[in-house]
Amino acid sequence: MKHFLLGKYPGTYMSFNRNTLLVMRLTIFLLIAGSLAVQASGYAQKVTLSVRNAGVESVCLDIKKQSGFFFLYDAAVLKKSGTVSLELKNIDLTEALKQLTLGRSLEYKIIDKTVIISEIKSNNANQFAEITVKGTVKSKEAPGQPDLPLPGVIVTIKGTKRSVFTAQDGSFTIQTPVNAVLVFNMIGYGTKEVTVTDNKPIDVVLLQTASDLQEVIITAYGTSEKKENQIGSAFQVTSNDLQRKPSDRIDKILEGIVPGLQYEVQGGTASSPRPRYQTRIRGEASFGASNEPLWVVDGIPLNTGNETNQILGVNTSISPLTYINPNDIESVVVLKDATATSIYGADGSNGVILITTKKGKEGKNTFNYGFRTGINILNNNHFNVLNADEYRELYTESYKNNTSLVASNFPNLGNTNTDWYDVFFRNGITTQHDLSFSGGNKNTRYYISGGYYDEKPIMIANQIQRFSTRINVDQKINKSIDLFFKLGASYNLNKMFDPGNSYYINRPIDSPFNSDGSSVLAFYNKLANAINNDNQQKANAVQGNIGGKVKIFPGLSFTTTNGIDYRSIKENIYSSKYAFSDHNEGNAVFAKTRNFNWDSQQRLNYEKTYKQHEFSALLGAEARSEDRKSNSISGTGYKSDYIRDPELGTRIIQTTSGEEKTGVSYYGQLNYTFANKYSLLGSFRNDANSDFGSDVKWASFTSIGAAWTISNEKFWNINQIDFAKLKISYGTNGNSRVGAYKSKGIYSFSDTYAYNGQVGAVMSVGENPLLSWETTYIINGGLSLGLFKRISMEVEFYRNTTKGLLNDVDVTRTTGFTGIIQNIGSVRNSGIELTLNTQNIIRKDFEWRTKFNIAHNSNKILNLYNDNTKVLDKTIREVGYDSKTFYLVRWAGVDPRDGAPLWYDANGNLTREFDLNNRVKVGTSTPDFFGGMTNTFQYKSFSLSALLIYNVGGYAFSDLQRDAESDGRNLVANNQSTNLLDRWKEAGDLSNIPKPVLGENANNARNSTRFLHKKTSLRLQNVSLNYSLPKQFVKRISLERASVYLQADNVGFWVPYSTDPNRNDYRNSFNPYPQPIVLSFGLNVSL
Amino acid sequence: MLVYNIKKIEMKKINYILILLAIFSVAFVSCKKFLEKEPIGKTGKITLFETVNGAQMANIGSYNLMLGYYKSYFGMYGEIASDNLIQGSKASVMLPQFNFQGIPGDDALAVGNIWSSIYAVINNVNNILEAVPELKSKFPAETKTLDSIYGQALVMRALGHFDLSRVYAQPYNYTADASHLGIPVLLKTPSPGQTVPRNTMKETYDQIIADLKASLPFLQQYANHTTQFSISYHAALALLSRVYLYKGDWEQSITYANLVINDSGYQLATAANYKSVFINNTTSETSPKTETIFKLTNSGFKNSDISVFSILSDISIAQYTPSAKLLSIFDADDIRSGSNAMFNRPATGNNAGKLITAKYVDGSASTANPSAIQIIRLSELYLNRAEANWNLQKYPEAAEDLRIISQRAHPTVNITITYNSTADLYRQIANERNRELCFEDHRFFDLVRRKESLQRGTDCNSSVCSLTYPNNKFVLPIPTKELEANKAMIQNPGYQ
Repeated sequence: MKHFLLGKYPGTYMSFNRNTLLVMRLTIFLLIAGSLAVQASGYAQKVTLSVRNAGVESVCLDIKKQSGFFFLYDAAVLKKSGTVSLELKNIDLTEALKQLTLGRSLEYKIIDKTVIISEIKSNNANQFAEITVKGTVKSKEAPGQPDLPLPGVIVTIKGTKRSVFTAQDGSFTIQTPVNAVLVFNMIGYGTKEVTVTDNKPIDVVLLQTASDLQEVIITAYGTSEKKENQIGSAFQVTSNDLQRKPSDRIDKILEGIVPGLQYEVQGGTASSPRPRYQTRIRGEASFGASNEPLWVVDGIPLNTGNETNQILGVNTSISPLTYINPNDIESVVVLKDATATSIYGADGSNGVILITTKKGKEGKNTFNYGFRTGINILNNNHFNVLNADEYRELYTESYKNNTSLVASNFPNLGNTNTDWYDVFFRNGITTQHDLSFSGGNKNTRYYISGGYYDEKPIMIANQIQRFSTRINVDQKINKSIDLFFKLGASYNLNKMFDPGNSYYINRPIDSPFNSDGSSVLAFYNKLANAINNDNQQKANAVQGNIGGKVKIFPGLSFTTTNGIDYRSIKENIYSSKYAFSDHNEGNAVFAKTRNFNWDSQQRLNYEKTYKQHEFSALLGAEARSEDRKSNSISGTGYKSDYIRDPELGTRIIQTTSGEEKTGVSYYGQLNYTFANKYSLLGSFRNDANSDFGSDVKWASFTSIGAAWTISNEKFWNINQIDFAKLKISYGTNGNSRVGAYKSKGIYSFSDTYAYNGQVGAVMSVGENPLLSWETTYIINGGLSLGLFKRISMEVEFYRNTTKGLLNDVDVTRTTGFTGIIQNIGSVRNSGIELTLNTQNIIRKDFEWRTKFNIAHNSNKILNLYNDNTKVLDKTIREVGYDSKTFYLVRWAGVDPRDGAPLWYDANGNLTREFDLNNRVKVGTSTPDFFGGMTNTFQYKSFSLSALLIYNVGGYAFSDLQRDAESDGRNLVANNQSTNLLDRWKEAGDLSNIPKPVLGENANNARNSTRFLHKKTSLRLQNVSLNYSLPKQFVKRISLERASVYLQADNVGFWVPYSTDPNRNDYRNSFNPYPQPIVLSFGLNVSL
Repeated sequence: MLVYNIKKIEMKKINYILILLAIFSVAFVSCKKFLEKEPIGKTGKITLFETVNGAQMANIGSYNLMLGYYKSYFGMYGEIASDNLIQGSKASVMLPQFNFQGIPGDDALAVGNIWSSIYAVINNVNNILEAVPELKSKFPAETKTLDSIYGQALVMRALGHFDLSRVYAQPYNYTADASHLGIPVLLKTPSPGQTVPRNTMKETYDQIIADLKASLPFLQQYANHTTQFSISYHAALALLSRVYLYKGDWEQSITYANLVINDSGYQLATAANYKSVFINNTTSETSPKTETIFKLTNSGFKNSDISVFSILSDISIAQYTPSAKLLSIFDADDIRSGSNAMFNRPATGNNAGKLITAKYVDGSASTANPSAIQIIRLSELYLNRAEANWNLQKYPEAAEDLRIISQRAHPTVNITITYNSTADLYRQIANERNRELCFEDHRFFDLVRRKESLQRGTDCNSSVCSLTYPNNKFVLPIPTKELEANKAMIQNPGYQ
């Protein structure tokens, strides 16, 4: 093929210079590669042509003169195309070129300022007869929803490079030879082929592939990644996934949806209706610092409490995550690997959860109202205890079994029969109203919402109320300046009553009331507390930020974001004169705590797409401050129960506390993608933080990653696999969240440190000027596949090695301290995660889709302080083992001869002696694998979805059972587990429950594997059925959309072994505090 | 291309950017200050020692910590491990020490507590000693105050090391050249992770004596006005007399005892006001001061559960009561004896019918009238001098000091000291020392120091009623936690 260049010196071959050669080489490359280059549009050069039967080449010369564009073509081809007659007046260059090539097997391309004209290659050169075909392309929506026009679909004649895009309404027009095959292609929808037979309209409906490649995942600091080329591990949960989950808190909704994320009650306590919960991503590493991910709301970190999620300054810790209305959330992104989290530096190693709130959409003013109401019912998985008759029987038997007790002293056990669960639990009610309106025009977009959440939990005298609002406004000032304002505020009222463990340990033979109807005044009767005491928290929470974006020149923008996270909590507690704990006195506490955190971020983002090169860069700086001040006043001694003012008590104690923490950071990121095939991402962050030792204040973290979208390669021709991508990344991040002032060497002054009447200062925290952050080295790799367009599969593996663990370790006592926090030891978490999205059945009226995830994590201690093994309460930390390894004496059951308990000694021999020296390592609490599955069925306007959560392997220790299966030891004062009904009674009985002896058997209820459960279980967490009302009907009542739904939560719980329904196993101590089944009805309307 | 585009930016836009960049840079301008944060109700070490006031508070805090260990396990150990006590019906505290069964793992008990609580004092005073020189150059006008603090801190460091060596190391004369294991001598707090070896006993004593001597010029300027509740020049002198006695340097012990005894600022209590030395928690600012050279006041504190006040006295159930052997060394006329002032025999209550020491609480201790802990008093110096003179074979001088102490205890009798042999005189001095200083945490240390075996009396109710010198049991083990965290630490023989 000979090429002629029409340039400044036409016909002069010698004029090729370096640049033109480059252009040519590039052009040839592009032509040979045959990729679907986008036809240039937007070249506003106008041309005027008036020719009759002119040669194409001469027309080109003409256009060249008018437009200044270079032309590149094969002269022979143009000659072959015959003559042309055109009458064009002041039309676009592209239109002129279109007219010029129309009906002539020619096509053109504009690259930079060069027009390339070439021959359309046809597989059947004889077929010159061409017809014009029109049609529309639509995308398939859910059953019951009309198909929607799909703009931007590339329609290509197979075997040629001729192609058009579909317009906004999905329509297209193309010149095509008869019998040609039209190929419809769109990212995220795969391809579809249709043979042209005549000029009848061709209407095509495309189905989004399971891989959902159009998805753009929001990542740190205004950056994002296309799923097609994603390098990092960032899992996105959209508002659709969050819908119709009845929780007041966002963390709970993520369980079972996000692979590798575990949401658990902290500490396994059975005695608080307001337990603390924890979220863990890919296991946990730290011993002394927080293991909670960093929660970020619209770019501003959210304070979720201290390193154990405790809210300092008040008596009950209520998670700030409950202060956010989940209905205001547009998406949640869980960042897991180094390329995604390194940019969060010293706070990133537990993973980062980005919450983005809703925004208004241009040109669409909508109004939404949602309502939900439901009842909460105590479920049958609660811990079963003896009824009064069973208790009396066990008591009598245990009494007899204790030979030291005199029969004549046998107490009167009365004939009371109290079910304390009945006393303390009720059917709860939840009501929720959500109102929002959003929309906007070219310059202003808004989202405004108001929400009311009211839950009366199953525990009496408890209430949760949230009044929330959110105002998000985006305003375009001019061509280059955009401002935004986001504000979420809520007022939260929590009424509390904590019965402690009395709901299950109270004896059924005791009544809360005296015979005259008054309350029994005794320590166990917490009902009197519920009636007489007050305990409430009022919290005002505001998260907001304001900022703007300035476009400096195309591609480069400067963004400033300045946000606050403010919380003010007032706590009023009154313990009545008429309740047991402070009887005749009364005690009032008024506590106030205020957190004010601010965060200011300034950054430059640069984005540039040049041909097939996509490039983006970020450079930013951030300063932040956390500030807490708390005070409380406690008064004791009141004449009247109505005073309830701590300042009027006869004895008053005041306390204050607080802390401040500051940090500054610099960070940057570079992202480059070539031809949608090869992507590279690198990032860094430098962090400084007031908590660290003076010697080590600055921390640096870096990461690098790459992805290869193999299915975008030309050679990829496996039709069954529509998408394939490999990715790998490596980098570091850190964990600095250990609590304030740990490095400084703190002197405390108080009365405690006085001497001879003068206040003194005593060093209370040892100095460690070398104290630093933990560093986690993360390798993450993954393979993404799209199969048969119906299946999307993503496998990721990771290895997180955390070094320099922050740990309050024993130090030489010669420092004056027993422990000083140090960077000692290392732990490795490694694992694999699999996510599978499948479109099982897609019919016109019926669809069945499944989202499935499974994760495995293994944890191993690599290094400890001096490699000293450390035994904690029930677990052991030893190099080479999981950090949550149980270290217990093994239970061996009951001697059938006399009902005595048996254990194994360290060598595995049976022993009747309980000896802590016989403790061995017996499994870990880390499960083998866990995950969830969501199945969604849609039939016409009905949609049914169910979330299953499963867990295989791992152990859990039940404190509940240890205390309630004491074989007589605790029986005098406490009720016991129904498992004791299966106790040994006479010689020869085969039982796992020893002979009960009243007040004895002290060793039976000590920590042993008797109370260790396998965690393998399957839970049906949520089922919801939604019905969208028919459009015609909805229109008639002046609405846009309306739907109603029914849902149930905490529906089922299965374990792979059978237990009598009235006995206790893992189900009953899984989430030790009794959980409700929640049945709700809801409705959503919009106009 | 880039230049071309930048040209297109309007001036207005540049202004915006300038403003934003200005905000940006202001935010980071005081970066260093921004990153220094102080907790509320607490302060960082560096900040505390920026003022003289802070150094004073650290000094008060150090006394608080010293009181803490003196009224707790350490303050009882010298009695409970000795032949002075038998256990009462409800003894639980320090039983391992009473029965010589302390193990290295007893971290929460006496073994671990004495070790860590005394090192806590040393850490606090070392911080003072490190900071004061700089403060002096910053605040020359406050030199006197700072010198006083500095001197007191030196004495506290010496006393801390001395007390540790009495508990965890064999006595100075255990080996001829005192080359056996002492305790880690710390002039600076080690950083976490640092390994800290034990010094020899000689090195330990060298530093104790050096610190005490170094304190003298700093304290001397306050010789006439410091209260008995804090460390004075005379307290340092008196402690030197004791340390030299323990070391077996008799001349020096006598020299320093003389410096106090011959000082008109101090006088022995009379028989009439003897009891008030222990009962009255007051201090005389006027010269001469009576009896006490240095005591720690418990003013402002309640008696904790594990304290010398509650374990040995009538406040709750006395867990240990005087042994028959101790009571037998008193004669009936002695004002310190059972029938007289220094013991109670409660008629009612938990301790009804038992003899209880009245040295701490005369049944009337309260927050308003708390007891004090005698660290060193004048009578001890007479007895130190007596023992030192005996060792120098100056028997008449020794007998004279013995007579002075005995005479004071027998106001109605004329005392003359007669002895059959020098060994008899030695025994009399030892007995007088026990009569005078019993329940003041001396007895066990004195026995060991004098290389005597422990021989408990006929009413001994311990599992160990006798131990011969030398004995591994005469020292406590180094706590396991220390050995684990500090790989340079060596366990005491017999506890490996």
